[in-house]
Amino acid sequence: MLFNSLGFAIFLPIVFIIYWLTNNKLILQNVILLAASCFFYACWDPRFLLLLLFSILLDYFSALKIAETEAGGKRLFWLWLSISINLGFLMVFKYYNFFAGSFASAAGQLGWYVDVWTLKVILPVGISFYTFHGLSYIIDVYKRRIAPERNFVDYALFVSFFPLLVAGPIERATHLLPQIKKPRVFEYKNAIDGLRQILWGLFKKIVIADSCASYVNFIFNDPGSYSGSSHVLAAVFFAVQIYCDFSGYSDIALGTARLLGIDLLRNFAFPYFSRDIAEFWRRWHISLSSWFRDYVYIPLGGSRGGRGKTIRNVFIIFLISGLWHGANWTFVFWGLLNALYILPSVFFKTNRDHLDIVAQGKMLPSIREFFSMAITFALTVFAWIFFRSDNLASAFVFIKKIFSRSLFSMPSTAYLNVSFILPLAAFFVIEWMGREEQYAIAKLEIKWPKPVRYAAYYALFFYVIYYSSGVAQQFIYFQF
Amino acid sequence: MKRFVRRSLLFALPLILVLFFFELFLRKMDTSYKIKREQVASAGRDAEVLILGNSHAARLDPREFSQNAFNLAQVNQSLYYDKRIALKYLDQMKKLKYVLISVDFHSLYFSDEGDRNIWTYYGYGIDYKDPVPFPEKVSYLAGYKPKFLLEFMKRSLTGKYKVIRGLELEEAADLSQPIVKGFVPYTDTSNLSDTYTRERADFFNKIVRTSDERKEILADLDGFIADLKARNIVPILITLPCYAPYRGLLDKKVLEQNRADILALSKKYGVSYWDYFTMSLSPDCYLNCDHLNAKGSVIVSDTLSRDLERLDQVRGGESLSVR
Repeated sequence: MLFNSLGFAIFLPIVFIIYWLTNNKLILQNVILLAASCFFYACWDPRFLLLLLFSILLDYFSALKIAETEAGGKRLFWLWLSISINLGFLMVFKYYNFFAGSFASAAGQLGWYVDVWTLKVILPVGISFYTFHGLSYIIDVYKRRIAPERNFVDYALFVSFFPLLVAGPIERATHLLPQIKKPRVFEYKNAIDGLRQILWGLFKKIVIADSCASYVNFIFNDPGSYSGSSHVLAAVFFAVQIYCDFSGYSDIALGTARLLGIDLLRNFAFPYFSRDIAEFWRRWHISLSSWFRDYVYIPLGGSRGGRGKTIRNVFIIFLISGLWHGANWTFVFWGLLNALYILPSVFFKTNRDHLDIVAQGKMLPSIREFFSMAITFALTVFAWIFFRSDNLASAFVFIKKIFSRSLFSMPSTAYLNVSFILPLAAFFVIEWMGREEQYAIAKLEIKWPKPVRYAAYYALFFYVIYYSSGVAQQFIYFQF
Repeated sequence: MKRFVRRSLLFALPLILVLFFFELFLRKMDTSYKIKREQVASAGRDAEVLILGNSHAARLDPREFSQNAFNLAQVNQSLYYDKRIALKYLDQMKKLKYVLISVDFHSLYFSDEGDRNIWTYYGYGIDYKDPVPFPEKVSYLAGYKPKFLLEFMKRSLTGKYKVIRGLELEEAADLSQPIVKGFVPYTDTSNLSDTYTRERADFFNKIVRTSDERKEILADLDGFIADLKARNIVPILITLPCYAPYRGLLDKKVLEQNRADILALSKKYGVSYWDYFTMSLSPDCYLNCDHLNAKGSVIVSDTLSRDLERLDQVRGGESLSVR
């Protein structure tokens, strides 16, 4: 069940009404949300539920075992049991075929022909996300940051809460569990805010991301066949597409959770208005970046062990981040490229230069800020080429074409809907105007008079309906 | 909570009303599918020649045929639908002698009509291999893309479509004339730009190169021909003309494979294959690289009619004719 489908438009109001009819009774609220989450997940494939249930049971009991003993060895045993089984599942479902294929290919290059056995399995939706939920919980219990959750329903809900189940944000037990433990009380302002964020998420996904997708697919599916300028346009459109697709999903997830009285972690903070790559990574997929920082980078020593160790840790983080996105060398290359981008700022300790919001309190950025943003955007667009390409060879063909003479010709307009330029321009203006908020239209009710506000809501609705294609388009991050 | 529900409903009310109006509008709207269905059930009953195919064959004008012809071809209509639509009406067409099946460059490589699957479902009640999802079956609003809905409304409000009623037609449709015998008239415009020609060829080359449907479609077509023969109806396979520079851009191996496949079927069942693909036509006969305009339509329809007459004369001897 996709967030941008008719099914979800029916499912959510039903859950919302039943949930708030509980009169703030905690047990009922959590049972209803858990049942709704199971139904939501089973809509993809009921068999996936078993895997999810196994993962939940494993982490639930491992955490209890860790907490009931003080013996370091036993605690470590249960921690590693949970981590290895969780990562084992992830490896089997997501990476086995990739590594087996790569091994066979490498062996073939050396003249050894290896007939590897490949798995014919479907990747369970959201496995990367709920595995990371479970891992953060078990590590936090081991590190004694939190006490283990003894109520199974509460823990199961923490992992499987439907707004975040399939594509995040990757929650922390320290943030979400306390909210699950308290009865939620309906707040009008929160609910309205949730609806507003859902609307903005739908606009980003359906109007902007899906419109960009047709042109992006057209060029990326046949790299090298069109002009260099068409390739540049496709790469820029993909940058816009992936941002609107994923942040649109996150907005719908956050808005849905807020409708149910729960606050989820923010996942995006206007990353394309970043002045350097380090700032970009603080603003892009925040819940994953901070997860890697807290559970991989810092335990590896972070930047405390000299330059050599810092460089190693940065590369490890981005390599894992690339692989997390998918079993393909394109993702590995994308991760390594970002590591190279960020390295100078880590080296010269300028990676925390831009902790504020660009041009805060001002209408326009300074010329320096503008160029910093433009360069950062260009670098990310270049890296996205690897992310989007089917394989490394296609990515290099794509890049080669960009740097050809045809870069200065008119781009192909096939599959380019000209009427989409207006909402695209409006989107950038609104995002810029709202960059100091949690999401772009968060303060619409304060800033604009009621008639104008309602007209804006209806206009967004109109665009969402106008651009929705009838068949809901999959979110890019569902494949990860 | 009550305040929230009340205000949400108030906010949604205008939207619900608008959506309800759209649903009504779509249900009452005439499409070329609906008109063709109505016409085939009335005028089509007396047809001796039935024309099937995609937008190429849709340009064949039944009025130019000396026999009583009816055109059931439709933009982007695949052989999958050609067969099923024809089989649905064959029993009612008691006088039917010939079925012209248009097999073009990509015909053996696609069956899914995309957006038009649902339009065909609304028109003829025929499902694709993966049945149309339930919401789209019950709601026209869910089935038609909003973009099409608004386009239909715009066309409807401009008043241009008073005579011709099918609203989902291509831009070159001649709006001043009605649909007759299933034929949608087209204007005499011509646009043979190199860029469009290249993009169009690239588009179809990509379809055929990425498709894995050929064997399945051929088997389906084989069954269709056998079915027609069993009913004593003569199937004739045809390939319609395309603009010469466009032909040169199409994948030659696929063209050869197509010809071999069609000839094999033709030989197996002793049916005619009339290949007009390289027919000499002046550029002003084309709307674009692969579609005839009004002028081209008259010439090719007339040629086909005369070839049919010749076949009619020699029939009885069951000639195998390959042009």
